[in-house]
Amino acid sequence: MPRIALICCFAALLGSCGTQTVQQTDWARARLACADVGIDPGSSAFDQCVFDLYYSLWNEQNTAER
Amino acid sequence: MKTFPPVVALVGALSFGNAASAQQSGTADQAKALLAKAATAVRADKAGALAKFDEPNGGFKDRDLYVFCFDRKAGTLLAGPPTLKGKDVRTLKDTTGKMFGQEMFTNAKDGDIVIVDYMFPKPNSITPVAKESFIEGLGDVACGVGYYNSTAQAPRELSRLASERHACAVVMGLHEAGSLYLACIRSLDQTLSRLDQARQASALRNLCVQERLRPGTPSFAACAENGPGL
Repeated sequence: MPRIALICCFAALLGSCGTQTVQQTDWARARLACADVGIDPGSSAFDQCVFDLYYSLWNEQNTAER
Repeated sequence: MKTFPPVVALVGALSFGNAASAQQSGTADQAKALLAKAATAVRADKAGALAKFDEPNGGFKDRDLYVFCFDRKAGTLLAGPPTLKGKDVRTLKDTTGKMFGQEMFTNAKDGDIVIVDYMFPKPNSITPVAKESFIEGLGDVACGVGYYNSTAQAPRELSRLASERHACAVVMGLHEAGSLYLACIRSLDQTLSRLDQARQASALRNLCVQERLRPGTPSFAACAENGPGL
C-alpha cells in the first residue's frame, strides 16, 4: 500500500512538472513572437504583448476544450 | 469546421475596415472634380474663393480632399494646410527629400493640369502618405487638389500582417487558419495597433510643443487631439 501511494505521488509530481514545462514553453514562445514582430524586449509594451498573447491563447484553448 | 466562424468574422472585419477607410478618402476623380469647382470659383471671384477654400463649411473640403493655392510670382501659399500658409511653396519637400513644391511652382500652366506625386500627411495626421496632386494655373495663382493613394500604403500594412503571420505560424508553431492561430494574429494586431496609436499621439504632442503651445492649456489639448492643422 505505501508503495502504491508513493507511485501515485511520483506520478502526480511528474504530471505537475509537465504542465509547468508546457506553460513555460508557451510563455517563452509568446516572448519570441512579440520580439519577432519588432517590439523591444526591454520595454513595458513587450511585457504587455507577452501577457496579452499568452492569455488570449490560453483563453482560446480553454474555450475550445469546454 | 469549428474554426469557420472566427475566420468569417476576421475576414468580415478586415473587409469592413477596408471599405470604411476607402470611404474616408477621396479618389483621383473626386480630386479633379473639386479642382474644377475651385478653378471656376477663382475665375469668378479670386479673393472670395481663396477665403472659402480654408473654411470648414466653405464647400471646398471633402473628407481628406482640400484645395491649396499659391502665388505664381512670390510662391506664397495662399490656401491650404494652416501650418504651411504664408510659406514659399518652393521650399516644401517631403520625407524622401523631393522638392514637390518647386515642381508645382515650375510646372503649373494656365488651362492645363499637371500632376505631382509626393509624400504628405492626411489632415489631422502626421504620418506621410503617398499623395498625387492635380495643379492648374489660374492667372497669377495656381491651385491644386490632391488625393491620398491608399494602394501605395498597402505594403506597410501587408508587411505588418506578414510579420504577424510569421510570428504566429513559424515562431509560435500554430497551425494556420486554426482558432489558436487566429487568436494569436488578433492579439498581436491589437498590440501593434495600440503601439502605432501611442507613437502617433506622442509625435502629435511633440509637434504641438514645437508649435509653442503649452501643455495643459485647451489649445494644446485641441492640438494634441486633432493635430496642428496639417
